[in-house]
Amino acid sequence: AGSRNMITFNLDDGFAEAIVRGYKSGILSQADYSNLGQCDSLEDMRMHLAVTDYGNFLQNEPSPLQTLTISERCTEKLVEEFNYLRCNASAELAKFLDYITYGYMIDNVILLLTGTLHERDTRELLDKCHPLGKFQSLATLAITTNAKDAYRLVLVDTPLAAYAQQHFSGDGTDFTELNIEIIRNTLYKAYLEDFYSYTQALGGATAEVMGEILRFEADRRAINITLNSLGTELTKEGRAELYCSLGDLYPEGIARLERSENHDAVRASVEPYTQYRQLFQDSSYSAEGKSLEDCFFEYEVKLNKLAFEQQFQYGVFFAYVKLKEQEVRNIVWIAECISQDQKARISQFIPIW
Amino acid sequence: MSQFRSEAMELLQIFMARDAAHDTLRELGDLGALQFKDLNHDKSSFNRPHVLEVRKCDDMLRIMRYLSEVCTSEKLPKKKHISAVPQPPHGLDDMHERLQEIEKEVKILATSARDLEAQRVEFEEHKSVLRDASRWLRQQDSRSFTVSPSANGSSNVELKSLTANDVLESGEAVQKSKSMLGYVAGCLPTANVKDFNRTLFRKTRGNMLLLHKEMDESASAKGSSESDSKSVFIVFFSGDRSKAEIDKIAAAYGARKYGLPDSRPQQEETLRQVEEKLGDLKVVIARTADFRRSKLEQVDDWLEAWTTHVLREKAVFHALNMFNVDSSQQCYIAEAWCPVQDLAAVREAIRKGDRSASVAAVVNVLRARESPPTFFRSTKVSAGTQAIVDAYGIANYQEFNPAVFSVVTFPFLFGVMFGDIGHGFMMALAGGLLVKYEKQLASMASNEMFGTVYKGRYNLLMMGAFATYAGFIYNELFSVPQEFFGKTVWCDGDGDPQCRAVPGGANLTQQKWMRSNIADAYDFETQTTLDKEVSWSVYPFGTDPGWAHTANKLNSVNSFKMKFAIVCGVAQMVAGICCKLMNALHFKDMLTLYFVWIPEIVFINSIFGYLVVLILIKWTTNWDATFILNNAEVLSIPQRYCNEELSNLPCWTPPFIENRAAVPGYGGLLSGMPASMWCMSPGAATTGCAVFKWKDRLIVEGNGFVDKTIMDSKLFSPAACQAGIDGCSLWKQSPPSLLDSLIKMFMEIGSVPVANQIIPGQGGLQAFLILIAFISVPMLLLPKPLLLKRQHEMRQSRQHNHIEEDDAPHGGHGGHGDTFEFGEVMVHQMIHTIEYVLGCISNTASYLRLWALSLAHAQLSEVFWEKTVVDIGLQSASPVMIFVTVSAWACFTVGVLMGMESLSAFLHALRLHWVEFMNKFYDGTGYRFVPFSFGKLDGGDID
Repeated sequence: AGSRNMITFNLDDGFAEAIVRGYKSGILSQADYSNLGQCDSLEDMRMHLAVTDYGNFLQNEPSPLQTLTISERCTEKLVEEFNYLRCNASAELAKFLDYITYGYMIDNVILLLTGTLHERDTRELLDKCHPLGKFQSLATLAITTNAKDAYRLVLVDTPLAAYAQQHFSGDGTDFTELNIEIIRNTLYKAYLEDFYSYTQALGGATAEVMGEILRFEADRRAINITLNSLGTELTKEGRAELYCSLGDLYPEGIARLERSENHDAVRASVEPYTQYRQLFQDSSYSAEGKSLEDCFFEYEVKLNKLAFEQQFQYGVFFAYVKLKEQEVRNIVWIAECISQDQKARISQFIPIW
Repeated sequence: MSQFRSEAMELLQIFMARDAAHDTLRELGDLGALQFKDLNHDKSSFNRPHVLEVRKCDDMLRIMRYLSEVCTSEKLPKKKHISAVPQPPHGLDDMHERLQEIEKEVKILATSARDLEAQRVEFEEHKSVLRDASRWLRQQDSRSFTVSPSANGSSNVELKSLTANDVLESGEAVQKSKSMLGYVAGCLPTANVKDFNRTLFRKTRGNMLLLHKEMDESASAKGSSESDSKSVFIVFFSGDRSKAEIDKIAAAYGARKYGLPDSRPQQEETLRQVEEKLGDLKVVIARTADFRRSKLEQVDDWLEAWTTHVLREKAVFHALNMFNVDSSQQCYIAEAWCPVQDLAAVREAIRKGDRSASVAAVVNVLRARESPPTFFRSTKVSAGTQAIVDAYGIANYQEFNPAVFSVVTFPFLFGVMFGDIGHGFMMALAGGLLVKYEKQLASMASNEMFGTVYKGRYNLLMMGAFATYAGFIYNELFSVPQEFFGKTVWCDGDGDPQCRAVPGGANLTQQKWMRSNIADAYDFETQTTLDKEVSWSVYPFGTDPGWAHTANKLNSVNSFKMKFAIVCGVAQMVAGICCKLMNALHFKDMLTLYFVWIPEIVFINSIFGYLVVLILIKWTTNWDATFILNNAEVLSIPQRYCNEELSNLPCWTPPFIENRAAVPGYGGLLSGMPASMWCMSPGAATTGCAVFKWKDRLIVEGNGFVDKTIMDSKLFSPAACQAGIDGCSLWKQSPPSLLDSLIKMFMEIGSVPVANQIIPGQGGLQAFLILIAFISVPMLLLPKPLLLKRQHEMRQSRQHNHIEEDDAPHGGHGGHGDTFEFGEVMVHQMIHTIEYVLGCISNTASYLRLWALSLAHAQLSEVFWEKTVVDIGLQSASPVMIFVTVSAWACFTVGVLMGMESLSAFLHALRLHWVEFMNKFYDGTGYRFVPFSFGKLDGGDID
């Protein structure tokens, strides 16, 4: 009941919230980014990151530094912080935090399945998996060849079982690029719907804040699915099954998306929704060649930042993980630009604060 | 005097030649007396001139961290003193190269060791597989196979049916079914066995059997933990198709497969080969390990010294990064704060470092515009207290340092609250041990918990000593009163000729009696006075142990502690205000002296200083003083003297109203009487002390007659007095109520109830004090801001005139930093005034925590003692119970009193210093002097 009212929230979750807000103030600021932007080498970056909240997390790395190392250490730090929060969470918050990891699990499952389809080495694939979404039997996915197997051998023991159940149990056809993509989207759909209903059941400010973030996530997926499926063999009916039954677009916008056959139709179907109209406009008129994806990311960052405006709710935890993930992407982008001598493009990251 | 005010500082500007800068800084770092100003603070860390060198140092430190890690994991023998540490190569680049070489070497050694170890583990695993798995294989062959507890139930059923078939069939059939049954053997992490089993079961739909066993320690890799132990497994399955799948699953679970020949002789042959190889390998491993150890021992010899060297180099380059380079690129320009006392040493160090320079360094003293840093050379005794003060705020440059007082007042106030001989002694003992063994314990100070206690060891010692002292005053040893200074002065009256008390009219047996020298003061035979004051025996030091278990003990103790708290508080606050005077005098701030300090000191003293005076008078007056007169003398005191005109009712005649000696007709007789004693008419309700005749003796009665009407008016009537009948009462004033005095001081200005009057002319005095207190408030509020405003206006008009007189432009000086906002100054002064006036009252009340805490401490320790040892242990009179209760009491004493209660007393002492004392004068907005020093780098203590 902690999350539901302001009086008792701090009994259970006050500590965790205080911690996460402390973590939040360690997120790199605009000034940090501009300093990072002036770096001439990854060594400079190491030096500057040492004065931020990252501290001397790179101090035991031999020179020359690799972009990959930076990204791994940054992610490690995020995971460490997340685990600390998870260890100090009350039952409800712990479940909420677990929900956050499910998203990463789905990504990892898909990564492994795709990788195996392309006959990549399993170890290598495991290294690429996001540590927040790792689970014990992940490697076993490499021996499955169809969705039924994957469900029966591996997923049935994971929290993803409930999401996989209805679509996986009957399907015995071998994996192809397309049906892995469909699996990803069905899993994600079920996950989002479940997560959404959990946050709504929590009620209060959590429902409000997380509702907005997850509805946007559902809409973004719907738009992306539609755009990506244009010109592929996916039928409209198949596409319709992948849309989440939530979001601001649902149900009218979704119905229109379902019928869309080209980019303009997609754009027209989201026209009535101001926020998405704005994003489409931004992406097409942007001088720096921002993609729609970038605009989505920016909007997501904005929503996540707004989550910190309200107290006594779980949205901050979700927002923190997402913002930190964006920060890691930013750092990696800057590091890549520096190491590949592409300093002109260095500013194309998404600043947070 | 350096403890009262922070050291005088100079801002130096140092020009040093580029080539000599490094050596000079090494010298200065050893000296540790300069704080360099960052002249490049607008540059980010990687844009500075020596960023490359700093980075190189970082990399060297990384290598050395790696090396020390390797050395630690190798568990090298404890270093004996090494006579000759190889000097680090000169020059950063050489050293870096050298270290990189060593790192590469050590890494190669480590890699080869790891490879060898991996090989060994592989052989060990293979050996285990050959041993265990072949046994399982034979078991199956000999059909003595039993249900394995680890195997999944349903698989057993199926396997049983398979093996059951074997039993029935002929030998060839066995061969055949055995060939149908494939197997895979190998090793995998124990943690994965369960999942592995489950996945296999699902994949083969139960047509398999997994046998597994955890391997013993020796087979696992060196340095591995419990969690990555390995297990040998063998999987039996039917069908060739499954083999590929099982291989895949095994690989996914991190299993390593090993060849297992089918037949027994082959197995034994392989086992023999493996063991042979293993033996060879172990020899190789031992040799390489020896080689590595000797190599690492060499490294270990110089590692620490080199690390120090590199840390120093890094510090030097950090410092160089703060310097400017002059336009000719020939020399560095540094600016640094330096304590005046160290100037000579700094010049000397610069001269020494300068030998290799082409141009000698130049040191200029600059005029500093900003305020210099604050630097106290704390001794190890004062360091703890200085840290307490610094935690509130670093003193401004040359501001009066409250730590000087706090060194004593802090433990004193703590002792008042924590007063108990036993507890205080335990604390002093702990502090004393820390002080005695401070050298040995210094290395443990890096531990945060212990370090805090260690750094405050002198405070602990002092706090314990003061608490012990206060314990003697309170006369409490673990709450039990002691007779260190003799037995109680109270007596029971039986058989003791000195015991001269009379029961106060109440129950005779409950009365405590006291000894007095009445026999020396009055000759009972002749009934004449011997001209001596009757005095009661007083306990020589501290509280009389006779107070124990009396009903009115708390009343008596509270009254004392409460007053004492006020006296301490006012004294400390006045001391604080006087520190402000010291500051005003030192900074020549006459405005503050006249219009802040004087009103403040007048205000607090006219109210609370006066209260303290009253307390001290009340304490020092002997209210029990009694003077025995014989009847004739008593009679000669005129009743006329008890006149309503002279004072209020009842008939008091305060002796100070007139000169008693001059009262006509009594020949100076009256002046011989104690000041606080006079005659009083009967029938009046009062409190006091009576002298009357009882069983042929004149008896002196203590302060027991509260609100009693004087009895026996027949006997003591004025007529009886005058008629020469035995007995006339002499009454003396009861002690005044100070609370009442203070309230009436404000409520009835100018008059004092006679019962409260203890100073001649008290009413007028009080009226005067209130008047000056009220005057001092506007004096504090108004003059300072108004005068500041006038000063500002005068300065402006002067500047104006100056410019008019002299048209020539006058550089850039003048006018800067001259913003004066009258409103702001006024508001600030208003806040200060309100805060001060209210603060005087609330802070005085706040000092009552001294009383409250010491009361709580005494009561807690008494409860623990009485409720455990006395009430249960001693009552039961059984040794076991006594042991149990004493242990419980000891736990309570250490846990609650020594642990929590001491922390609470510490916190309250801290608060009294930070809030009540320091807010009277302390600004605390300075910054600390942090010299460029190698001493701190090496982790050495600053003192």
